[in-house]
Amino acid sequence: MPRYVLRRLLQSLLLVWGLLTVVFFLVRLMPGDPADLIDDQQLGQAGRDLVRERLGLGGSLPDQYAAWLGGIARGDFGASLRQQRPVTDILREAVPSTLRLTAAALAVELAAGVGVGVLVARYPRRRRARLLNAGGLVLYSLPSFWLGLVAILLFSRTLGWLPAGGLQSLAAESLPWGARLIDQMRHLVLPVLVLGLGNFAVTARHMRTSVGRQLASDWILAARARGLGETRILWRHALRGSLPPLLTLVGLSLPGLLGGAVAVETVFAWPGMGRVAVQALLARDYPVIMAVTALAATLVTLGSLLADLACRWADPRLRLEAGWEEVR
Amino acid sequence: MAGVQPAAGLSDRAAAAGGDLRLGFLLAGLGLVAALGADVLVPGDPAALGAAGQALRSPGPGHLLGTDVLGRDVLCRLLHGGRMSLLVGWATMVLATGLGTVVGLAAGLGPRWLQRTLTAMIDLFLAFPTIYLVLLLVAVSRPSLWLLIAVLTVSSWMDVARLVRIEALALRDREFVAAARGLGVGAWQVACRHVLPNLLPTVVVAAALRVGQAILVESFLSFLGLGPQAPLVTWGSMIAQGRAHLLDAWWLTVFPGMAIAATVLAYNLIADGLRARLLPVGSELEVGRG
Repeated sequence: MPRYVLRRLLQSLLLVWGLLTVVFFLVRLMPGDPADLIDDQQLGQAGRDLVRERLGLGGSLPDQYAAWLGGIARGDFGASLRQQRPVTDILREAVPSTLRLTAAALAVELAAGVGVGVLVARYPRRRRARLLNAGGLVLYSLPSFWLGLVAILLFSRTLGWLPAGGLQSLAAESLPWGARLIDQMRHLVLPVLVLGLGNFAVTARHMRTSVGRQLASDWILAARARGLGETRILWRHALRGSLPPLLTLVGLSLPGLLGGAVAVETVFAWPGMGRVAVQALLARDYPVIMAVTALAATLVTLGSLLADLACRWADPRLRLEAGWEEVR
Repeated sequence: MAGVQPAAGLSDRAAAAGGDLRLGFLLAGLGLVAALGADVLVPGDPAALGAAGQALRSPGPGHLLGTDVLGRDVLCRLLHGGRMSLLVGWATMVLATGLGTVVGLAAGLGPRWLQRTLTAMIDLFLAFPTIYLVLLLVAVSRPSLWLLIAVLTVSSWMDVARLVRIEALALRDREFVAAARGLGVGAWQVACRHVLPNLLPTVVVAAALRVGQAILVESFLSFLGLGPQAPLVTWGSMIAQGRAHLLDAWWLTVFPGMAIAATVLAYNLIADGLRARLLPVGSELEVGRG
């Protein structure tokens, strides 16, 4: 394995350890005892002792920390305080739903962002390009939970075109797989559009800058001199040169997508990580919220690691510098 | 790198920036006036119950934006909610930008060990999706206005810190900074008198972006019932109350959302306009995080 990949892997591993540490100490070092914050009246002294035990609050702080990290290393995030089952089970159910939502939203965000960005870079004075650009900024400024509610009001309650939420219809399990797939796709449309279109302005802005820079470069001038058509130059040559920054951008937009998914999942009753986090928060279910926060940050770290490696691969200059010739 | 130019001419960029800035300042100004003058513009207590038979009136004369379930005037509550959002937005902006600037400067100019530690801290906090960090912090505190501002600050300082650090690193090796150091100016003086003034444009643009982001996060927390508690009015809690009446009283949901959108858009436009005026094309600040 080339040295760069190894170094980057090690870095990410260290970062994940750091993330877990931050999560642990943010919760433990806040004034007050988590057990105190859980509804006081219903909990007798025995109940509070049980909660403290479940939270691993016995023993010294370093001991607790070591126990928590050790558990996670074995894939054990402890038990939920409210649902009588391991946190790992809850996460295992939630993560695929969130990944499905964010992956589809990423595709929408990239398609819209690249399209508008290229359009604005190529035709900065055209009215349509400017309108799309302004529309992106407006969408970026909307609270996504509200946009979700309005979308439900409009497309599902009033027009009745699409379902208002959930992964699939209640009867979906009994449908043949084709109909079930269509049913799931229909449930995906609104959440994905709300999440994906909310952030495309950022992608569009980056694309405008990097494609604009490409279009002004000497090698595009050379392509023009060879008599290539403008469309071909724009979509094949300029866009190709903008690929590395685009890959970096994918890595950078992951926190936004995963974070945005929290609001979208809440409004659309989407059984993903965000909804788990919100419900755990409302129920003061500390093991769950610690685990889901750590997991979200870990996913972001993993995503930016992949984006970085892909960027190295896509940019021949970086490939050489990083000693990628070892691979060949 | 010969022939590198922005695709849109600089004049285009400046003209668009002027338009953005004007519209942004106009919207933000209107919002400030409406929030500060709420008591004069729409007299009445936003939390007091309305008269009998006044519940769920649709928008019209008497109640321009309608009334809610308890017969309270939506316009009145909207303006008072604006106070809360602007207070949270501005307070978070000041605190997060201040903290971020100090940390960023120290991470760029401080002694080696401090640079390493702080840079690692910045990277660590940047890896969290903001909202998860906010939820985690809210989970271990009780909902209140000032705690909310503290939570928003802790979860948003690192964006500013990252940008300030990058700029400070670039400025560190410039001649005028080296000259100041050579003349025996202390590290603290170099940071405040020589480096800081040169990265003010970056700080100002980042600060404008923070206001809008803070308001968005605050409104979501209030929507979940975790923001400032009643009798304080927030736009997010208004939307939460309207959610149950999405079909028969759309105005309860739609107007507060539009108020949030207009306010956030105003600060984003200001940030955009300032960015085009103050910063070079393609600078780091083109990145915005959700």
